[in-house]
Amino acid sequence: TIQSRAARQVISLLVGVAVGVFFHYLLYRLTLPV
Amino acid sequence: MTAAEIFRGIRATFMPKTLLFGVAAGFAGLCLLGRHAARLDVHRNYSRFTQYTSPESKYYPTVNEMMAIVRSKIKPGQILVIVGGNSILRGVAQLPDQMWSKRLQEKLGDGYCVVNFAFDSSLITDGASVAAEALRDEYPRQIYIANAFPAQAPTPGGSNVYRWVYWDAYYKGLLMADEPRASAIAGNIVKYYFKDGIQELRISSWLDSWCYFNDFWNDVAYQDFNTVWGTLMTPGVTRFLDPRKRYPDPDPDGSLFPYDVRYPPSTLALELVNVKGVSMFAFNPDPTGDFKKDPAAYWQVYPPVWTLLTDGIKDIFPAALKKRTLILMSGSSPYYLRRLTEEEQYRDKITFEMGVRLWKEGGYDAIEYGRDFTPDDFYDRTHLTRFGAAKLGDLVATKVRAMSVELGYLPKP
Repeated sequence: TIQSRAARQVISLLVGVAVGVFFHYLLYRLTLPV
Repeated sequence: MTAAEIFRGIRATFMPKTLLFGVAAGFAGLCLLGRHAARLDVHRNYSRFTQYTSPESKYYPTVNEMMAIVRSKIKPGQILVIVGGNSILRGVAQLPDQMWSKRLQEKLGDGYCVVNFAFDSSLITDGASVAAEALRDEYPRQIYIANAFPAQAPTPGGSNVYRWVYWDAYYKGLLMADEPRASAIAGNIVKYYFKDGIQELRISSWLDSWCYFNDFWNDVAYQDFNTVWGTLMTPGVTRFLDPRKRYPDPDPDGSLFPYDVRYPPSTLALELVNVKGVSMFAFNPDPTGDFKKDPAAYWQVYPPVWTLLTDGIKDIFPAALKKRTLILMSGSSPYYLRRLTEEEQYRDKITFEMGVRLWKEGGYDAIEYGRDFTPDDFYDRTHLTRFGAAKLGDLVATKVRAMSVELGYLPKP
């Protein structure tokens, strides 16, 4: 039950931040030269 | 539960606008942290880039990283001496305490700050020269030192392996605008050998100038945990996830190795080819000449080699930076030199003399070293032991002091 709007917002924000961090790391890894 | 139900459940959990805001915030937050990391010196007690903090194990120090090292080492009023060049100047076969650049610092004293940014197989125009140029306004009293072989034409913008530093600084607006150099680089990167990967490098450097991902994740890799594997990583010596600051400096004391290891008989013929190769294309023998009678007339200049050098020298650096640049001509070990014929030894000598003269005529300063060293001073054909490092440090210290006076950094004695 704690499906509540506030919890969904927090989960969405945390997952979003994690995805943003991952994209930043992906840029680093994908542009490293051979 | 079907896949569609799982997907619906996930969609019901997440709030799209908040999720997208989180993605943007996470990404932008790291971009800002990257800008902060770019100003931090994580390399405490820095002595040199090792094989574990260089492209040899997929660690690419940024120009900001190098600038931060300088800022943390230099004291007010000191003259900055930045060392570039290849493995010889990096101090291969010398322990950190035996490095030639450490000897140089000791000889120069507190009035100078010597920082060694040499990389293995690096050229004059690679990383260290870019860091020195980027610091030109902060530390205008500076001397840049690199090494070369006498008839080796320089590469504008850096070699394929190390040119990332040039483009890193270029897109961050840290370099001087210099039309001749820009033209030389534009002409160079379309050539077969140099065009490989240049577009990707320029795009990634441009992206990094906005997102600072290299500075941020280098900081993490050096201080916190490593995430990039490199072929030099060795079980028992390095632990993959350990931060790079815990990786050892693997260069040993080369003077402890026996001659059979340093000058192996099995490679004698090959190394003699390398030693001859330094000068064999620079001069041609006069078929009608007599070396015994007139050695100077016997060896005829082969112009194409020297034209490449003089053309290259012209445009690799902005004019204002040439006079504060010292080029060291790295000589070969006498162990091999004395095995050449008298004619070949003479050709080697005049090749080095001509190389020094042409660099000087191009607006730089230059000296050669190694001809009066002993086989004990060399670890192999070209790298120096601690004995050679001490001699080179003494020689360069004298030259740097003289340059400091000529450049007006110090009053005339």
